[in-house]
Amino acid sequence: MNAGGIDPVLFPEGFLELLAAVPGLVRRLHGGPADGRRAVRSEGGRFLFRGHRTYRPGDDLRRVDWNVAARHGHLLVRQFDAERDVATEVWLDASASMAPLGAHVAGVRAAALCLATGLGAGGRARWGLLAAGEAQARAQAEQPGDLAGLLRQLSAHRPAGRAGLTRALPLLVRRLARGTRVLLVSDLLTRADPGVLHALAGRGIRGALLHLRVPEACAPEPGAPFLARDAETGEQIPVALDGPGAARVAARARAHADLWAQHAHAVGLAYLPFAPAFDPEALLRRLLLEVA
Amino acid sequence: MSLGVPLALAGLAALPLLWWLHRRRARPRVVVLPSLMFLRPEAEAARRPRPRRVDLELLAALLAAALLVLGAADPRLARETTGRRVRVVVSGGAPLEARGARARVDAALAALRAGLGPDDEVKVHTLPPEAGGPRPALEEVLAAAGAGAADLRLVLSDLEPPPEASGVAWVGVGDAQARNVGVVAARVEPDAAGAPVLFATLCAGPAGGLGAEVEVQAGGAAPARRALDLEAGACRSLEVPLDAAVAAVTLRVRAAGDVLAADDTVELVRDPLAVHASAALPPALRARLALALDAIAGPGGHRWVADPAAPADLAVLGEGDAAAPRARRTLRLRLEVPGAPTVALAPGPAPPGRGAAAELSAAQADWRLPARAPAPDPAEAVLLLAPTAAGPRPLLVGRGAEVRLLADPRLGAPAPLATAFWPLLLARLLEEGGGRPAGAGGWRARGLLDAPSTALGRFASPVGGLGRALPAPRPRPPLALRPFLLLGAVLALLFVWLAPWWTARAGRAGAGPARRAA
Repeated sequence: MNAGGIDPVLFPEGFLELLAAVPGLVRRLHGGPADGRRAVRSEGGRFLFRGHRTYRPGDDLRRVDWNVAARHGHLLVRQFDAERDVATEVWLDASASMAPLGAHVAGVRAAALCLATGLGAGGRARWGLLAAGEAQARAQAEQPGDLAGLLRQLSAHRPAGRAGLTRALPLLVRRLARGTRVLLVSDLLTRADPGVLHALAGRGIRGALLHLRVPEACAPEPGAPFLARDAETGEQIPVALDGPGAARVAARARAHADLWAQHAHAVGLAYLPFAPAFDPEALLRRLLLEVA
Repeated sequence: MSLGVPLALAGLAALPLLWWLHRRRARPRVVVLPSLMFLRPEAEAARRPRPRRVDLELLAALLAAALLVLGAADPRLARETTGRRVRVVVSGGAPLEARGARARVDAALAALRAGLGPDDEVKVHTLPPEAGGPRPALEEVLAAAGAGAADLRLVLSDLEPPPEASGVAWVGVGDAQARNVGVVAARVEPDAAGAPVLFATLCAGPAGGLGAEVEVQAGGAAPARRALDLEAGACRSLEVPLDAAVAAVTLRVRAAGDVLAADDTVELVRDPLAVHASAALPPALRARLALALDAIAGPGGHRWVADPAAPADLAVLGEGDAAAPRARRTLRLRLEVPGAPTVALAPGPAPPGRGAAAELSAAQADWRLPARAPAPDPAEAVLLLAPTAAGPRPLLVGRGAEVRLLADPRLGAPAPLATAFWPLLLARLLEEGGGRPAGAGGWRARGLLDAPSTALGRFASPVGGLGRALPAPRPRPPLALRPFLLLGAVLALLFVWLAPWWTARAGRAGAGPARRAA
C-alpha cells in the first residue's frame, strides 16, 4: 500500500494515470455534458419545480416568475430540484474464483475502470460486492475526485468464499432503480440461470456484463496430468487433457459464455469479455463506446 | 560375507530420501483454478481405474544408489575352503567276491569319509569295474591310483603294498583269518597211452590248513570224491584218469570255512578251436597256421571252419577278404604287397610313448593285445614296431575284434612266420577271444582263476592314519563383490540416463497447463 492506501500492485502508476484521464475522455466523447445525462452540483434544474422564494440580489433574472410579480407585485424566483442524472452501479463478483491466475487484479482493475467511467460521465457511482448470495453495497461517490476513496476500498478487497450468484443476481436485479447504469464484473462461473437478466428489461437499465474469462479454466491446452483444485470449494480432481479433451473443455466454456452474452444483449446490456492479461485501454475504450 | 568399509552402509539411508524426492518430483502439480465446472467431465474420464505402472526409473535409481553404497562398503564373500580330492582304487576281481571282503571295503570307505570334511570329494574306482575275474596286477592298480588329479591317492587291497607304491596310501582290507582252497590249474592231457588225464592243482590260502574234499564228475558217471589235506599256503596236484569218450568234466572243491566260492568249481569241456582260414591264403601260410594251432591246442585241438559267416574262435584273412562277423578274433594279414615294410625281429624296447615293446623271445608271452577294442590312435595299439628311416612305425594294430598285421609275415629275415612270434601271436589272439586252452585235444577250462586271485591277501590296516596324509584344506581368497556391484550401478545409471530420452522419443513427454502455471 502506498501512503494513500491504494495498492500499487493492483493500481500501478500508469493505471492511475489512465483513470485520471477518463473524465476528459468522456467529455470529448459527448462534446460536453447534456441535461439529463449528468448530475449537476448547483441546485435547480429546468423541470423539477419545487416552489418560490423571495428574490435576492444576484439571482438569475431568468428564474424570476414575472407572472407572480405582475399579479402580486413581489419579485419571486422559481426554485427547482437539482436534476439527478444516471447513477452507475458497479458490482464485483467477490467469490474466491475471482482470485487465482490473475483474476483478482483483473477484476479489481475492471471495476475501477467502470467506476471511473461512471464518475467521468457526471453521475454518481456506487460499487458493491456479490458475495454469499447477497448484493452488498460498499460505497458511493459523487464526483471524479472521490475515485481515490473507491480505489482504496477496492485495494482492501480480497476475494473469498462463494458469490452465490444464483441468489445474489435476482436480489441485485430487483434492487436496481429505473434508469440505472449497471456494470457487473464477474467470471460467471455459476450455475445461475442467465434468464435472471430479463428482469432488467423495460426499466431503462443499461450497462454491461464484464465477463472475466481465465484461459486455464476456459480454454486449457493439452499436457501432462495435474491436480485441479477449485478455488471456492477446495475440491481436487485429477485432470489429464489430451487434444480432444482440451477442445471439449473449451467448447463447454464457449457455450456457457455465449449463453450469458445472448441474454445480456437481449436486455440491452453490453457483453464485454476480458482475460486477466487484458489491456486496460482497450477495455476502457469499449466501456466508453458501449456504456458511457 | 565381510565388509571392508562398513560405515559406507550409512549411505543406504539416502534411499528413502531419494524415493521421497522422486515421488515429490513425479507427483502431479496442483493447479488452483477458478472453477472445475468445465473440467469435471474430463476428470471423470481420468478417474477410470488404470493399471498401476511400475516406475522403472525410480527402481533403477534406487538400485543404482544401493549398488553404489554397497560397492563403497566393499563386501567380500568368504568362501569355504577348497575340498580335498581323494582318489580311491579298490583292488577288485575275484578276491573282492570273498565272503566279508566287500563289507571290509565298505567299512574302510565309510571310515575314510568320516574323516573328511563335507567339501572333500571321494572318487572310488574299482579295478576291474566288473565283478569277478582275475585279480588286477599291482601295476595296474598303482597306475589307476596315480591317474587324474587328487590330493590323496588311496588303494584298498588285501595285499601288502609293493615297494614302488610311493605317493599312494595303502589300506589293507584283507582278513588274516580268511581261509580258502581253490583250483588254480586244470588241464586235460593225454597220458603215454593216449588216454585223457585230468591234471589239477589246488592251493590253500595262507590263513591255515584246511581239510578239503575234491569232487570230480566226468560226463554222466557218478562223481568221484577225494579228501585232501592242505597246509597253509600249500598246493597239491591231482591226477584223475578220464574215459576217452568224456567230453566234459566238472571239478569241485569243498572246504569248511572257505570264504571264496569263485575258485571252487572248474568246468572243462572238449571243444576244439574253430578256425576259419581264408581260401586266399597261400598254402605255406596255411600250413604254418595249422602247425601253430597244433602247438597251441595239441593234435586235434582245432577244426577248420570253411564258412566265413559261421561262428569261429579265430579267422585269419587276407587283405582283400570279407570280414568274418561271427569270429571272436580276426587276424588280417597284409600279404605280398609291393613296398610293404618288412618286420625287424630285433628285440628291444619300444620308444617311449609308442606302445609296448615287441620282442620275439620267450619273454614275449607277456605282451598283450590292446585292452581297448577300438583304438582311435593307432599309436596306442602298437604291438610291434618296424624301424624305418623315419622312425618306428606300427605294424600290428588292433581295431575291435580284428587285428591287422601291416606286414607280410613271410618276409623278413627271419620271417615272423618262421619264428615263435607266429604261434605266440595266435595263442594270444585265442586267449583274448575265447579263453585259455586247457590241454590238448581242444579242452577248455571255464571258471578257472589264476593263483594270485585264489590267494586271498591277509594285509589289514586301519584308515585312521590317513588324516596325516591329507593336505590341509586350502582356504580360498574371499570373492570381492565390488566390481560386480559397480558394474550393476553403472548399468542402472545408464538406464536412468537414457529413460527420459527414450520417453521423449516415444512422444510421451509434453508441456501441460500444470507446468505452464508453475
